[in-house]
Amino acid sequence: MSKQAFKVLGKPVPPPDSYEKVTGTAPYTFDMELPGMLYAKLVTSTEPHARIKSIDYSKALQVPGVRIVATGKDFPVRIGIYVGDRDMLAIEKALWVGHPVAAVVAESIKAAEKAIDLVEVEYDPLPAVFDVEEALKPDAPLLHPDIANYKISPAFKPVPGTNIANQFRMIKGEGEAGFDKADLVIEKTFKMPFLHHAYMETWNTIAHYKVTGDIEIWTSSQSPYAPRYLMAMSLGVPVGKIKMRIPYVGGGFGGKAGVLIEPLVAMLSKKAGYKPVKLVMSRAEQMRSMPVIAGYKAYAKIGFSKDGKIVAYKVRFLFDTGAFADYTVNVARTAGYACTGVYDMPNVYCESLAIYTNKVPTTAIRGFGYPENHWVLERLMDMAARELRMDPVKIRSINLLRPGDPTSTTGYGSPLRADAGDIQGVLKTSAELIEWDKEPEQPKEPWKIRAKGIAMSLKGPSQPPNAVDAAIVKFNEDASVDILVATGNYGQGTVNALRMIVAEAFDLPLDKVHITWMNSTEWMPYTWQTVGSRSTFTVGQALLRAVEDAKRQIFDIASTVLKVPADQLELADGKVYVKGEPWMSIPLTEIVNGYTFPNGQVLGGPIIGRGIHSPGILSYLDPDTGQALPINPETGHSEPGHATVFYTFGSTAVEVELDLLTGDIKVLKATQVYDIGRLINPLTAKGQAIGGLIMGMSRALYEELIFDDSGGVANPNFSFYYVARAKDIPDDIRIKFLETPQADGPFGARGFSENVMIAVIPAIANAIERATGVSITELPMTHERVWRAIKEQRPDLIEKALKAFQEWKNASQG
Amino acid sequence: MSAPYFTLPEFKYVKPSSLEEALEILEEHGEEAKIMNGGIGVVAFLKERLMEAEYIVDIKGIPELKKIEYIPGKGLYVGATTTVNELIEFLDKSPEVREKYRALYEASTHLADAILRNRATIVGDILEGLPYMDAPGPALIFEAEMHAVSKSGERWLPVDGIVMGPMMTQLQPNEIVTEILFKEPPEGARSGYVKFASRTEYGIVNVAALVAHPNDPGKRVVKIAFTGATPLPYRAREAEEVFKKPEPFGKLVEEAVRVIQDSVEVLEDPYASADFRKYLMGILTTQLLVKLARGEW
Ligand SMILES: Cc1cc2nc3c(=O)[nH]c(=O)nc-3n(C[C@H](O)[C@H](O)[C@H](O)COP(=O)(O)OP(=O)(O)OC[C@H]3O[C@@H](n4cnc5c(N)ncnc54)[C@H](O)[C@@H]3O)c2cc1C
Repeated sequence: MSKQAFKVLGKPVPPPDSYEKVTGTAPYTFDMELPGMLYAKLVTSTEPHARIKSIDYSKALQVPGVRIVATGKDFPVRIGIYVGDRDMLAIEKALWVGHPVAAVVAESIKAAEKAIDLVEVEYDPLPAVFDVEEALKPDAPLLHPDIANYKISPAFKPVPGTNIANQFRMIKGEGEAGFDKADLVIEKTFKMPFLHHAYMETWNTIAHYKVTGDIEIWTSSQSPYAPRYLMAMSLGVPVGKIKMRIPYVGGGFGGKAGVLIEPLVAMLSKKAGYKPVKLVMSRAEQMRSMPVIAGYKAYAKIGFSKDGKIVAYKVRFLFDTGAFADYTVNVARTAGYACTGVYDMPNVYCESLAIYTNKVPTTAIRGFGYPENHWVLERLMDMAARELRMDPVKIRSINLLRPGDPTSTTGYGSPLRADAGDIQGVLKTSAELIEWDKEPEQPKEPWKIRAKGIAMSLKGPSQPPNAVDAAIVKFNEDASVDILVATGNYGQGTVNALRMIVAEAFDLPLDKVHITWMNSTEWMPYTWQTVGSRSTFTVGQALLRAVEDAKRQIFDIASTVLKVPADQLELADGKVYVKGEPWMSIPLTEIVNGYTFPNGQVLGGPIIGRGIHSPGILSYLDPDTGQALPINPETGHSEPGHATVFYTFGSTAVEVELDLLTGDIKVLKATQVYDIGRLINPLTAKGQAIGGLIMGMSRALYEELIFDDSGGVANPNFSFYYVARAKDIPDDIRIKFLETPQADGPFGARGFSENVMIAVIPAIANAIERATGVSITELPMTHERVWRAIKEQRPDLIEKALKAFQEWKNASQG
Repeated sequence: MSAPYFTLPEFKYVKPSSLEEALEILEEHGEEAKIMNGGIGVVAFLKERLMEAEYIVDIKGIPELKKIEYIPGKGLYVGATTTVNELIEFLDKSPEVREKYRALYEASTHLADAILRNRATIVGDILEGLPYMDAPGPALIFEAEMHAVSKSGERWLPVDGIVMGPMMTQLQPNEIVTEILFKEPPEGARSGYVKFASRTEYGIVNVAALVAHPNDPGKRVVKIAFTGATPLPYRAREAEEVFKKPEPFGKLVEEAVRVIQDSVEVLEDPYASADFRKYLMGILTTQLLVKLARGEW
């Protein structure tokens, strides 16, 4: 289908929720109040690792308005999505400074806050461990000695008796032995810090455990089904009894995937006498006590032939998951299986460990292992380019994966489909947009340097192979359509894109396609989760099938009425036509609730279309080799399996200015190029590309959770956890989308909204590397870190800069 | 800023409508009463449970504390409850005064953000006493003084030395600052402000400086003050003395920087090491002084 043929797709359509958000009328869980509601507040640990000897809350109970106090003894169950290691309130042991050990429920937040200060906890301190390598030592204190008894999803392999929450290994070709053939070997250690997602709305939940056993929940989760299922599993409650409702959500970035605090609040509601209970997090509580983003240390080694081809790659990621690894095991595993990035490599050995330490726990994050593994690989590519005196664009180009070529495979052994996207085109376009071959204009201060850097990225959804989705379309009396999907709408614009897809497929104007703000398991059909940039692709397909299903029903009725076979009919402009005879038609309004003949007799009834997406081609990766398990041939697919339903290719190129005297890095220009298959909504796609650029920049230059001596988060606020602000955004952002359609994507589309931040981070460091030869391997690239790196690696540059600075200064002496 | 609370501890809120009344309340309740101005710092400290008060005395209802007046030859008088944005607006409307107090203007426009500046006051910013505040540096180079009154009298206190730590000052509990005077800068002076932030919204090194007649040793005046890098606002008096020497300005800058780096006590925290701060003090001070001297700032 050519672009011109679309009526809705490709047009800039503001998401309807924007209007409510900018007028301050959008309701969030935080805003909601129920009659008779009580308020919970957490008491948190002051010890990094300790046995809880006793908790005395008698004084807290005396505060007027306090109803109950609960401790880990009340709810001795563990929850989680992949490695069920999380407790609701500390069970026997406190595992980090900030670990919730008790909860107060009171008639007002004020009473609850007064009461938490009166809960006396007696701790018996245990040795604590804050560093991944220390945690791996045989005599390290163990955080989860009982891990063998936890509920573990089949893709994961904790190592009981250690602090290893998951161990993933991938070997391709000869693995490490491949280095024998290398002419150049580079070895480096990389680091990423712990981060906070910095969503505007913190975790907020209201739960009402009713006397009937039904549990009604309003929560700031990304989507409703995963938290419901996980909660039912851990509490032993029938899943259908839980009604998980999701109003507007103030951002997620992966940090509201899986299960949040819903099980705890539900149990507090029950304990407080079946009253609705609300638990909201302050920013400080969120950053000290709720899951953040894992940091890591990575040991990497890459081998090249003289002509710049990668011959072998080895990397070992040590992810620091904090006290709970629940969701992070999959971030770590994904960093492992996608470690080869956009490149074809014959020999690979990647290992990724998720390791417990006595720090704040961690969870999913936008990008999900890809910013992590690209920070290593895309940096190594530039180091190699420098050593081999090759152009960074060229060395990338000759190593890129070749979609459709069965001999060019990802690390886990699957070749990319031929319609996976124009990977060379992405690289070329990015280079063109930044004017790669043109030297940047240098600033007049000789101690400042401008330079260009580039990086590539790929990203696919990291979903379990059996993650499925459903969608329903139903008609209103005026032949407008309601879309029923459980896809979360927390700012990405996905649901609006789905609306555009349905409008296009039904040939209806956009205002005839309705979406709603409140998501719930009660009326939205199943979707596994809204994560991984997957929903436009997966739920989009389900919706297209739902539209087809509805059309079949419509044509069925119309064919009887118009007395022509159904395959002679088409739907356009809100009418059913006979093909080639447009004067023969029935308006949809006369069909959607059944067709009524002049004699009053009705034919058919309400039209409701349903559709699903079932990936089919995904399989688990062999836990020992990381290679995809073969697919069952009877399903009609052929082996090997895939880890993702699509991959999207991207590239960011930047022009930065480095001040050698202060280590200051300014991003002056940036490109964002992605092959997204089909540009559904240019407005929100552009928004994602800009937002991702800023988030990537922010992670590259500023963001870092800082820990105090007892492992507690020392900067749990936005004054000292700096996130990029308006003044930091580059003026010159150049965005381009390529559209190589993927056959199974809705109108060819692929997801891309995590990819947008991945290449940004290494691109900035690559620019510095190109201009100065200084290799930065640790994030964020703060002034001091950059200054020290230059001082260590290129003291001559600083000396030269200082000399120029002196000259500049002395020029004033007349 | 790491306490979990949404609510404030209990206190009685009073908003006197005259200075007289306010002083009365302070006299009566002594340490139990705390003055609230814009309240940005007070509310934060209360929320963090770092401050307790039986009475919070909101001084924003006292008409005479709100003023801005420039008296040629004397200086710029800024009322205690005058907000940072009110000061910026005033200076924007009086470009000549703005150029006289350029460092104050620049520090004000870099202080927090536009919304906070609607509440935050210059006097409050100085008295809050955190190391990295933006208003104290300019106050030091303009030799600012605060006018404090109590039931028993009044006095002018130099801003240099008024702060002893977070929420700790030389003021008596019964004293209210009514205004601050930024003294008339020396004839021909130019001033400027550098806020160097790194991973925080506050500066790790803030420099305020003033230069008059850089190339005329007889008339030359240089004033330099730091916040962000030092535990308390720091006026680099020894370094200023260096400029009394007859050598060329550029050479003296080098010497002055050395004096600063050798003498000053510098903060070390996770955002910047003491070494880096010291080094930056040198670079930033040099840049600022030289540019001021050349008229390039
Ligand atoms: C998010 C955030 C960002 C910030 N960023 C910056 C920044 O970038 N730069 C910066 O400099 N500051 C910054 N601040 C601090 C802020 O500017 C100060 O808190 C504010 O200026 C204090 O002024 P106030 O009028 O609110 O004082 P208050 O909070 O009302 O008072 C502060 C102290 O001064 C005392 N006091 C005030 N007025 C008088 C008086 N007339 N007589 C006697 N005692 C008095 C009070 O008792 C109290 O001890 C930031 C604050 C926040 C919350």
